[in-house]
This record gives sequence, C-alpha cells and structure tokens, in this order.
Amino acid sequence: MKTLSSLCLLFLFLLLCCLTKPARSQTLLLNSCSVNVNLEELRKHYYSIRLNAITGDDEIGVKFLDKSLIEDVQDGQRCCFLRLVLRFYVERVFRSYTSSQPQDERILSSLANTFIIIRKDMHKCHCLCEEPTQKRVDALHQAFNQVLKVFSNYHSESYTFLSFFKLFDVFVIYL
Amino acid sequence: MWKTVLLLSLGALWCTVSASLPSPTSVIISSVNLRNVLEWTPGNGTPGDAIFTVQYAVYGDSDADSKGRRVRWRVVQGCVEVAQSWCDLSNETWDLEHGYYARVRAKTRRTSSTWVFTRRFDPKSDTTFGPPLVTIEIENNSAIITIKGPMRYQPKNHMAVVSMATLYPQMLYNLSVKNTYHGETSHFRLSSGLYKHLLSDYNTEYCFSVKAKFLVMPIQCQSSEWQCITTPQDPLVSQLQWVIMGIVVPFLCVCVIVVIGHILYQYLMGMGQKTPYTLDQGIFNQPSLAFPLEKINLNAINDIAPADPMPDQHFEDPPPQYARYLPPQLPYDCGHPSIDYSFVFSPSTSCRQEERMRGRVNDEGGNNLNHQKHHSSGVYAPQATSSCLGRSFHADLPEHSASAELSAPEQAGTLHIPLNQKGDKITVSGMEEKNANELEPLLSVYAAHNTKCMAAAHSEQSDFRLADDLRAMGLEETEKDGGGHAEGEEQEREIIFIDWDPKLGKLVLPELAKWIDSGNEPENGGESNEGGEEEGNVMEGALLLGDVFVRQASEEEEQAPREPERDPEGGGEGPDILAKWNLVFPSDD
Repeated sequence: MKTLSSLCLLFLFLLLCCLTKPARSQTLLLNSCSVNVNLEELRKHYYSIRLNAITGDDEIGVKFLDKSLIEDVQDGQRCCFLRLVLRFYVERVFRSYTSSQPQDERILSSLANTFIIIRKDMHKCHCLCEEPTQKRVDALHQAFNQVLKVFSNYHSESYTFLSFFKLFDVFVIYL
Repeated sequence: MWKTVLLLSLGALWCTVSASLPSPTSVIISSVNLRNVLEWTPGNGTPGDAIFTVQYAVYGDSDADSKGRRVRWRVVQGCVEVAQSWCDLSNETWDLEHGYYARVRAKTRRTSSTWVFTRRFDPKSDTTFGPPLVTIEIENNSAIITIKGPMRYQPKNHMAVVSMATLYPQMLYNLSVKNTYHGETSHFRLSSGLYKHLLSDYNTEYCFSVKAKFLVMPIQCQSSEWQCITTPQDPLVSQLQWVIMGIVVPFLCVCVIVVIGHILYQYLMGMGQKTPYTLDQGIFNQPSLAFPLEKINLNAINDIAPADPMPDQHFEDPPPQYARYLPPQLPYDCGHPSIDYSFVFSPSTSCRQEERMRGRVNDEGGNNLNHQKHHSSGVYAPQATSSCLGRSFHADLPEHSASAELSAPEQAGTLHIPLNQKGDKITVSGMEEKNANELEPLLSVYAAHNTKCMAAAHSEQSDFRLADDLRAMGLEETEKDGGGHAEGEEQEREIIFIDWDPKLGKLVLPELAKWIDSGNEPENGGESNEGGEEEGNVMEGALLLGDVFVRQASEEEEQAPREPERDPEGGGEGPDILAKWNLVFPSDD
C-alpha cells in the first residue's frame, strides 16, 4: 500500500521526465513510434494532489527517489525506460493502493487510467532495452521495497498516503 | 523515597516552565522571485523580551544513527535568537532542486517554546512571480513592448542577475492591452519578451500590463503596473488643421480686412451714406426758394370734378375735382429778390402718395374719375424747376396735391391752410372727406413743379391754357381731348382757375371764396372778391387743395404791411380767411 503511492508518483515523475523535450506537444515521440499523451491533464492531476501530499509529509529525512535515478536516460532508451516504468506502476503501485480520501482516490484513479492508455499505445512500439536502462528500473524496485520496509511499522492510512507522495519532489524538478 | 519525590517535583516544574511560553504561529515560507523568507507570528502571551531561533533542513537529508534516521537541522546565520519575526532563507534555499523544511521557536531567558515546523517548501513550485519589467517604445504605428524578468532575487551581491525566465523555460507572458477609447482590454500570450503591438487608433490611450503565466503550474504571478501611451493624432486631421490654419484662417482674415477696408473707404469717402431726410428736404427746397411762388405766376386750379359739380356739396363730401394752377401770362422773373414763399413737395413721397391716391380714386366708383396718369413726379421734379420758367402751364391737382401732402409736416415753417374746418385739413378733390381727414394737412395749391410735370407730360394741353378764360378753355379742352387720352383724360374736368394778380400780390381762390361766402357768410359777413364763383368751385373741389405748403422764408414783418394792402382790393373776406388760415401770400410789392 505504501509503496503503491510512492511508486505512482515516481512513475509520474519518470513519465514527465521522458516527456520533457516534447512537453509542448501532445504527441510523444519514442524512437520510431509516436504516442499521444495528454500531458496537460497529467500535470493538472499532479498539482492537484501535490499540496495535500506535502502538507502531511513529516518524514523530512526520508527520500526514496533521487533525481540521479532517472537522469541521463539516453534518447534511444527512452522508449524502453518508459515502457518498463509504466509496467511497474500499473502492476505494483496502483494495484495495491487504497485511500480513504475520495478526492485523492479519484485523482489517482485518473492517473492510473492515463498510465494504462499510454502503456496500451506503446505496445505497437518496438523498444530495444539495454542494460543500463534495466538497472535503473531495478533501482526503482529497490526504492519501492525500501518504502515498504520503512512504513511497515505504521498501520495507518495516513502514512500510506504520505508515503505515496514521497517522490513528489522529484517530479517537481522536471515539471 | 524523598529522592523520588524531589525528582518528580523538579520534572513537573520543568514541564511547567517549558510549557508556559507559547509557540509561534503561522509559520510559513513566503517567496517572491525566489526571495524566500520565513515568517511567523509570536504566540499569544509571548513576552516582549522573547527571542526566536530558526533552523532549516533539506528534504531527505538525514543522518543514520543507532536509533534510526535523524533529520539534520541546520542553523541559519543571522536568525539565531533574534527578536524579529522573520528570517531570510534565500541563501539557504538557493538550490531549486531540493525541498526544504524550516522550524522556529520562541525562547526567553529561562524557558523556550516548542518547535513549529513548516510544510515542505519547494522553491521552484512555491515561489510567486513578481511583475516583469516592461519597456514600451512607439515606432511608427506600433508599440514595441520589451519584457524582462522578473529577475530572481539576489541574496548575494556578487551573483549575476538571473531572469526567472531562464529558470522556468515554460514560463509565458500574458500581455494585457487596454484601449481606453473603446474601453476594451485584449490579452496576448507571449512566449518571448518582445512584442510589437499595432496601434490602430489615433489619439487613443493604450495601456499595457504584463505578467508571467504558466499553463499548468499553479504559480501566482503579479501583474506590472499599467503603462499608458497616447498615440498621436491622425495625420489627416493634422493636415486638415494645418490647411485650416494655413489657408482658411488667412483667407478669412483677408476677407475681414477687405470688408473693413471697404467699409472704411465707404465711410471716409462718404459713399453710400444716406443723407438725413431733413437735409434732403433742405437741398431739394433750394430751387423752390430760388423760385418762389410769386415768380411762378401759376395760379390755376383745375377742377376736374364731374361735369356737374355740386356747389352745394358740403365739405364733408367733396366731389372729386382737380384744381390747377395756370400761370398768368406774365413772364416769370427769376431774379426777383422778394422771395418769401415757395411750394415744397417731396418727390419721393409724391410718387408713393400718387399711388395711394390713384388707388383711392379707382376704388371710388361713384366718382367715376379716371384721372390721367401722370409720370412720376419725382422724375419730373428736376425738370419742373427749370422747364416751367416763363411758361404757362397747368397743374393737375389730384396727382400732385397728394404729392405735396406728405411734405407738409416735414417742412419747417410751412404754413398750413386749414380749409377743413373739422380737422384743419384741406381735402383734395377726388377724395372723400374721410380720406382727406386721414391725410396730412393739404393744400390744393400744390407745388409748382407738379404743374410743370403736367406741362411736360401734356404739352399739347398747355396751349389752350394760355387763353384768358382758362376755365372755359380748360373745360373745352378736356372735352376735346377726352377721346384722345385713353388713360381717362376723357373724364370731365372742371378747371378752376386761381386768379393771381401779380400787381396786387393777391391770390384768389375762386372756389374757396365761394365756399367761404356760402358757408362762412355769417362769420365773415362780407362778400367775396372777384372770381367768387370760381372760388366756390374750388371749395367744392375741396378741397382740392390737397396739400400746398407755403413756406415762409421772409420775415414776419414783411407780411404785416402787405395784408392791409390787400384789404381794399380783395375785399373783407379774403384777408380774413387768409388770416384765419394763416395763409400768407407774398407779393412783389
């Protein structure tokens, strides 16, 4: 549960990171294929949940993801990296996430649907993944496991919610 | 046991002292152009000597120890134990890639409050944008708007000035243009800091305001102050103004000068000035003065009353008649010095009065007098003064008596003949009494020139009038010429002659004398002099003496001796009537 929220925002960050260059376009060019992404809506959802997330985050010293984790992705590996991250979020983060806040659930549900649509559109793309890209994705899994370990002692939904937004700051950098 | 109680007491005291100082409230980090300042409000009950201490931490920066991770709080230089309620963290939060936390607490000499934490502060997301720098230049019909910034706050002077646009590539500008003339405000989204706005309206004030704008990020942005410019006037309007100023105005000035000059010229040269009426009379009367009545020797009264004049008709209903003066055969002496009287008439008014008279005559169907139409007396006026000299001529009373009528009141010193007993007016033949009463005092012994006009216009009639029996001849002539004149000369006229004896200096009005004899006999008690019958005709014609004004130019004393002279010759009645009417006829004697 805790890992779900954190990884959700992580994926959001990674997605926006990958879309940094073509940010002003609704079409995401990934190697030889193009994917339509409603980037405006994605950012809108992000900023909608950001304020609530950082308000209650009192775990000042815990930061699961760092900018270095997703920086310097080669242009040829963007397709591969985004595809693996989408799979990670859809299969692990959103599946295990629940929230008592209806507004937050609605926003995260919209984010999940957006991810699924993007992932579906990327099936037609033939992405070649290299080893460095795979290692970066493995680092994400380790961070997610660390979140699960840190907040394993807390049995409160609030902490779950807070842990979900631990990666928020990373997104902010690339917005 | 005692030790336990003492420790508990100390612990309770410590807790009491520590909790006594309230914590600061409203602890936030406000940021404008990345100038990040921690602000707080001292809690209620905080003593005045309380001091505050500020610390900050970077998100995710912790130290691992035996108990786990501990956040590494850092001291802010310049914000340790300060009395102020703010602390500038711009230098500590310089790195935009990190998130920051801050905390503050109040402290006194003995105690301190608890720490109050802020929420996580992400400088890049939580800052607000100040107004950008806007420069506006007018080039031709466009306004070139140059936008800079806003600039990032520089906590250290040695750092280069950096625009916020470089830190936020996705930042846009929102330009607002307000047209004060139309009251419209239009907005433009600019991706660069240079914009050229077309100024479509002349003489209009345009106001510009710019602020940063983000499509997605919920960042607050402040607008710049309205900078207004006023476009110049329309060149066409300016040209028209110049045309007006350069051509029309001088033209008008020239016109005004010309008009003024013309008026001055007219004034100085005496052109176009209208001589006062009295002066005109005076000038016009000069010939009359030169040729007084005595010299004209014209004493004929042409009574053109119907063939059967009504002697018994009263003055109130006089028959239409014409009275004429026919000059005696004596030559006219222009150089006679004793000029005392002259007939005066106004040419200008005579024409008008002639029309009036003519209209009246035509309206009076009972009179059946179709007077001979004469030319304008004004036309003949100058001619008359000269042409009548030494000539015998007749006067057609109806026309000219009216012409002399209006001049009566205008003549200074004129002598009115009060033939009309009722209104001291003399009625004119061819006029009813009521018409005569409406007129000015009349005297049918008209102006001399009027007779001249007649003489000039009807020269063929002047021959027989030279006969001795002028009246008979006049009757015959009118009968004879009646068929020849289509204008109405065929109307019967009865000519009344006024006998003027130059030797005696006495004017005899036959009709007048007759009237006087018949009507005023009880008063006068005397006989009329010779020609009494004719005088009666004159009175019947009544007052045919339309208006003759005798102007007395000589001294009064000359009249006195003359009157006695007339008495024996003219009988008792004549002088009395003349005296009664104040009618004085000078004589050559």
